[in-house]
Amino acid sequence: MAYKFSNISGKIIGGAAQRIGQGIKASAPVEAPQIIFESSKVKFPTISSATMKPRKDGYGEMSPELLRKYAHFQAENNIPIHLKGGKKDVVLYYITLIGCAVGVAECFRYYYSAAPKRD
Amino acid sequence: MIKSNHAFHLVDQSPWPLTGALGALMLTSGIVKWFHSFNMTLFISGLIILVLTSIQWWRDISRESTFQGLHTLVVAKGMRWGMILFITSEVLFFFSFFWAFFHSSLAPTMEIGLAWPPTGIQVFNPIQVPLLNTIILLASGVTVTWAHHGLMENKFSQTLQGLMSTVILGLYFTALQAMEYIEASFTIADSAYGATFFVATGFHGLHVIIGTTFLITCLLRHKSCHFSSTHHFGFEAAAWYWHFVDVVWLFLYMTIYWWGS
Repeated sequence: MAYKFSNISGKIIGGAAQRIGQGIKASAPVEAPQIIFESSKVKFPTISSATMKPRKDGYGEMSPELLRKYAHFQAENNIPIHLKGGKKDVVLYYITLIGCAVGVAECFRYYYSAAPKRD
Repeated sequence: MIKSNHAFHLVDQSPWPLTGALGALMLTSGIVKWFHSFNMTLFISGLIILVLTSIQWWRDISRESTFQGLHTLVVAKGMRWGMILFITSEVLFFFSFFWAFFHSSLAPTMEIGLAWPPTGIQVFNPIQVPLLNTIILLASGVTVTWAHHGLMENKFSQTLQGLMSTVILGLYFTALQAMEYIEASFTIADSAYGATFFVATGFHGLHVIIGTTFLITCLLRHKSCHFSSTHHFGFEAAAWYWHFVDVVWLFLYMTIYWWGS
């Protein structure tokens, strides 16, 4: 749709221009376009026995622990990064959260108790 | 693992910015409670929450970069700018303490005897422990550069040795400064000299401890093979920070310890 310039508001009105800055309105979700690489020969490296062998340029094998970590954290399970490590993450997260909650409550309790009394 | 069609990293939702802010609230309110009610519990709790937040936040960054491969070149470039700007802000922070020192020392008042050092203050001999500390930090600058070159040239054990030496030198500096603090004949309350001396060197010491912690983290990550010869920004950031700490000490030594004695 053609844009129009409104002399009153000094802004462009009409069509898509109306939606600028208004946030994304509910429209049909668009699929991200397929990435087109420069040639069909471009390949992403995969973790396989081929990548694990020692190379001529001096790089060694990847250690199995590191590869295990790669696989663990790249698993497609929609768990956010701060919980993706497992049970230890969850425990530490809740300790931090509860510590914060208790601490902030104590802060407000202190502000109340430290304030001068109103006679 | 990049699932977007751009090279930037839009992070997962994370609780750490919030817990960090709340921890800072607890820390500052805790300081007030400490000063007015002589109770340190809230302060210590705030410190613990901030330490927990830092550990988990940086742990998550290591995961996103090393294990998930989300730190592309542009992401790393942004981080370089971030670290540069942060160190610049720290330079300005120290600038204010040097200002305070020169304000007091260039025109000493009547109350301190119209002299610098003030009458009655026994200053540290600059060619004793302070000179040793200077040599230690300069040497640590060399060892961290050694470690960096080892890393870039794919020499695993040389990097390890370089990092280890840097950490040991950093700890040695901290230990010597702590001894100096204990042995000092003046306190923070002893005139403008004590105030400027302990605030400036105290904040510097805190930065040495932070820098040493950063280097220890790099050491542990290097042992776990997190760094590659071309991509190791965490290490570079630690090295930049360490050089900054070294330079601040050189200024402290030349102005407060040497010129001011």
